[in-house]
Amino acid sequence: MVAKYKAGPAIRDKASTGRIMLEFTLGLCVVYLYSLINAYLTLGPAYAVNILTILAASLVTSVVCEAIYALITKKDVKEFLKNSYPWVTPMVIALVMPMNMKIYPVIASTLIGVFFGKLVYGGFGQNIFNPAGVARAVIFASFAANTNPDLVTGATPCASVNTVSWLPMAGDLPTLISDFGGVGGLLLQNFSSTIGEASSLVIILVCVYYVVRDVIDYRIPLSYVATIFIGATIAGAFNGLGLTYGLFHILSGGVLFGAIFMLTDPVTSPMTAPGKILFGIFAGMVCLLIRFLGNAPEGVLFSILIANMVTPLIDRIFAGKQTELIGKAYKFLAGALALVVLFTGLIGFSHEDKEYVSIHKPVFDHGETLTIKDEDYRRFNVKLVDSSTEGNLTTYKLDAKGYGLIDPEGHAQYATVEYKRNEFTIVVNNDTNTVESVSFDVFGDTPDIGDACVGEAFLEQFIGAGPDSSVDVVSGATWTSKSVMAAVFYALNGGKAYSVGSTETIGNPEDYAKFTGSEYTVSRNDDGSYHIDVRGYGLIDPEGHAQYATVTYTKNGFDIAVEDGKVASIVWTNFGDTPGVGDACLSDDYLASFVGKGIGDEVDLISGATWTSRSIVAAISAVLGGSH
Amino acid sequence: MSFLLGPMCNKIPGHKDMSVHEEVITIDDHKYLQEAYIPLTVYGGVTATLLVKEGDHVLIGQKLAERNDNFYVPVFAPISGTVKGIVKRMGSNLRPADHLVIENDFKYETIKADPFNWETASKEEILEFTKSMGLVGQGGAGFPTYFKYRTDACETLIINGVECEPYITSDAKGMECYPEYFREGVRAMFKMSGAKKCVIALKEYKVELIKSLKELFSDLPEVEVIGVKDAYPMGWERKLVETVTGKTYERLQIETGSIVSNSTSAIKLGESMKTGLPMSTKMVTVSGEAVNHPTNVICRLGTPIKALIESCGGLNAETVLLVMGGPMMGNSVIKDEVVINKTDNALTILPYVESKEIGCLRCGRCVDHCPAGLEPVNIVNAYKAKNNDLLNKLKIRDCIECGMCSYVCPSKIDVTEYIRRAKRTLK
Repeated sequence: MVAKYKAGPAIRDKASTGRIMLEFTLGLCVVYLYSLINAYLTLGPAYAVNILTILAASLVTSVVCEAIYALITKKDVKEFLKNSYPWVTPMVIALVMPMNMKIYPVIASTLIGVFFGKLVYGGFGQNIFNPAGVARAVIFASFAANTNPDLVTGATPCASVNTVSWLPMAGDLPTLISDFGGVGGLLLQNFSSTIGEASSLVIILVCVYYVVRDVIDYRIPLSYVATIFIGATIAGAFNGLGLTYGLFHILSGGVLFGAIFMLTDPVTSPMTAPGKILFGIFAGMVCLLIRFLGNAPEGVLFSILIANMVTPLIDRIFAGKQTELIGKAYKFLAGALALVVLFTGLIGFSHEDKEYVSIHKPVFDHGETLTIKDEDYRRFNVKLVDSSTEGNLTTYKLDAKGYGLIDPEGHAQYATVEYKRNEFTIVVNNDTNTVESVSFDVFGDTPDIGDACVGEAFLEQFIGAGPDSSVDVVSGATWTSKSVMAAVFYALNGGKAYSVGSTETIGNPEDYAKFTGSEYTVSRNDDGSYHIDVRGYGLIDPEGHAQYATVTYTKNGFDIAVEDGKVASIVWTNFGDTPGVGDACLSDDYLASFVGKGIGDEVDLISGATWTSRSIVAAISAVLGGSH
Repeated sequence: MSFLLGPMCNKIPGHKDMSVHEEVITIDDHKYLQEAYIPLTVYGGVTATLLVKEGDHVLIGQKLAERNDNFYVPVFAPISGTVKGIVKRMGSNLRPADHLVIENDFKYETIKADPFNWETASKEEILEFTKSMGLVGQGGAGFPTYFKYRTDACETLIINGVECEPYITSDAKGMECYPEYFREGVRAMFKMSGAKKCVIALKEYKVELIKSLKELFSDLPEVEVIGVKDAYPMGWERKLVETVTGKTYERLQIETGSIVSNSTSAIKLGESMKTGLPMSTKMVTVSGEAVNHPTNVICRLGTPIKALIESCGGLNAETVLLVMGGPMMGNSVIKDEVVINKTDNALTILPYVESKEIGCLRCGRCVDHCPAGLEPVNIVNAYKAKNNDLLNKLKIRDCIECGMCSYVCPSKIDVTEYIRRAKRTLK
């Protein structure tokens, strides 16, 4: 028997640094594999190959770099590598790379992360900054554009929200979140950004495993995530945003990944329990400040690196006997929380609203803003093709003139285009008199010019709109835009292409005289209808129409059929009034409103074309009077 | 344990089953105790003043030496025989120490002694009896028992049967084998303490023992048997006092109105009251993966551990760690000539495994688990930086060397050992 001496205790816990690193690696593998499979299934094999290459390049670079360092510093290479865990840093680096990254920046940043982030301090356990964080910062600062051109990634929630403001308007939050599949989507989906920001859910599950297996201390991720959640919710509350906004903050960007895989790195985080909590709160606040006030899309990376810097300070604050430091810990933590509340409150309070534009919202060139009912819709001669009502929804099939049929001179340049009427289907909610949907059935205008009006972007403006709502016309396609507005107005106007200004009674002697004078004649047509010419606006109100000096006015001519003392039909034979003003009276719809009317009946006058309307009433009065 | 503190304790595999169910064996004195070696170093590392000389014939219970300054600690003969002189032998602290050699005459004659009736005795008389018997705390520290009881402020007497060190089962086995001694010892201690309540604490998983002890004390409503959490170091007095009374103390446990005595101390007091003689035997757990037949062994004081090892079927490993006591706080010794003394309650023998220290990960496990609430890693760094001011600020003197920091260190750093060295630099 040989009894050896060993300083007590004689037994040691099974947990070893090797085991901890191995289990940590296991968690990283789970996230990596999920991301790999997800990329393969949703984006295609090219992405999967790139993701594999990124990891391979990073791993090889790291191991070679550490081996060379061991050789140069004359250490046993095998032993050095065994105790340096050279695979962990490159795995994290790979996971924080955009999945479409080119390979050489990966190699370069791994080299910098491993050498300047880890080895220069003396290797494993000595580093000040998270080496993967250093590598990511290098990529961020120097190689951001070096992505693989064949691999295109989509918008990320952070980038999208950052383009407007990290504090969206209350009404925009649902759009923002639904752009990324709702809260469920934020939990489950990969937004084709970095490899590791795969599914939040997977990361949370790995975190639970880590905490149960004592791989990481729950205090750091908990205080970090809680700070971001609370801070964001406070800032959001000032802007009418609820808890969902706090959730958006912690589920977007690298918050969860950073909290669990980078911030918890024991080497670069404090050692005491209150130190860990203070560290998490500090990092969370830095992240919020960068998000709200900085112009970087994301705050997580730099919040980690900046928090790493204060680790020695935090450890000094809580150096002593822990049980005697509880009071101090409460003071510091309460102070830190108060600062979070103060800062986020100030940010929320002083925030200016900016509109969030959905990533799914195709844009168009906004022209002038017009009110739907004010549009000079009459000239578009909207006609009802068909309508049907189901419940409170009425579906109108309408057609209207567009640019090509209205502006003969203007479209001379597009002489080859054969213009047709634009045809629409418009659904109106009769309870609210607002538009439910607008769609083009036939686009009759100039291709490539009016096209933008067909797009969802333009038509979406009409959803929920009433006659008083304003919309932006498409710049460069004003006529087509207006044709849509005219059709929409028709639908909102209860299926009439005109708006009623006032009413008039058929047979009013005053009208009768003013428009016909004494020299009127009523002639009889072959089909038994009557023909009459009467004055219109141009011939009655010489002062009023001075502005239309170029117009040569003639009398308005009508053919009117009479049955039992009522109008059976009325058609225009000559329009002698101001084009574009009295036009509304040309609409078949308006003429139809006289059918069945006789002496003493009230009829509508079109607002803005009162004179021309009254000339119709006068003609009818004369014909009905004359027929007696 | 809270959000701002780590667990400050740890569940450590107990390995109690290895020895607790085995038959207790008694050492064959003819084979192993031709001569008894009585260490003359007593509580506080003081060498006791010798009262006998070479050639004297001594009887069991005869006083051989004593420390009599601010503490009174006598040393008694465990066997009858002839004083052969003083030799230097390795003590359990690995230092050579004076041992009085007594040649065994195998007659086991005792001095004249009468049983002590605590029921008719006053508090002071019990205190005097305890002092004269040289009873020291059997938990390991060896603090003279009478000393703690010299107070009128005791509210709660706590009998510590927690036995939180892994492998050790001698306390539990003692309570199982000597219920009468235990009962009488506890009752005498209770009277001596003047407390209103007595709490006997055992680890909660020792269901059978708790049940039998509850029966044993069923007629005494002031005695409560409780189970405490299976964690290390639950048997540390501060931890136990806090668990039982909810109070913490600065320097002395009496500040909380409680006195803690080990269960085996109670048994030994009970035994002494019955015989009128000081303790001369000890039950020692011999356990560990390197022992062929782990069990509890009764031996006379002064028996070399070689006897215990051989009586337990020898060892199954070539290179071993011989630990006097439990594996957490015990010292490893390198010679089997070391003898069993009053306070030794276990011999833990483990296969020797080389462990390699790697860089500190700064994980903070030692900080989270330190039962004293210290920051071991910071102490180690301050020691390495030779920063004595920082060592004091880190309250290094509050370290009880429980071994937790080394135990939990994933980098296998001998944290506890660094702290021991750091303490020495401050002396």
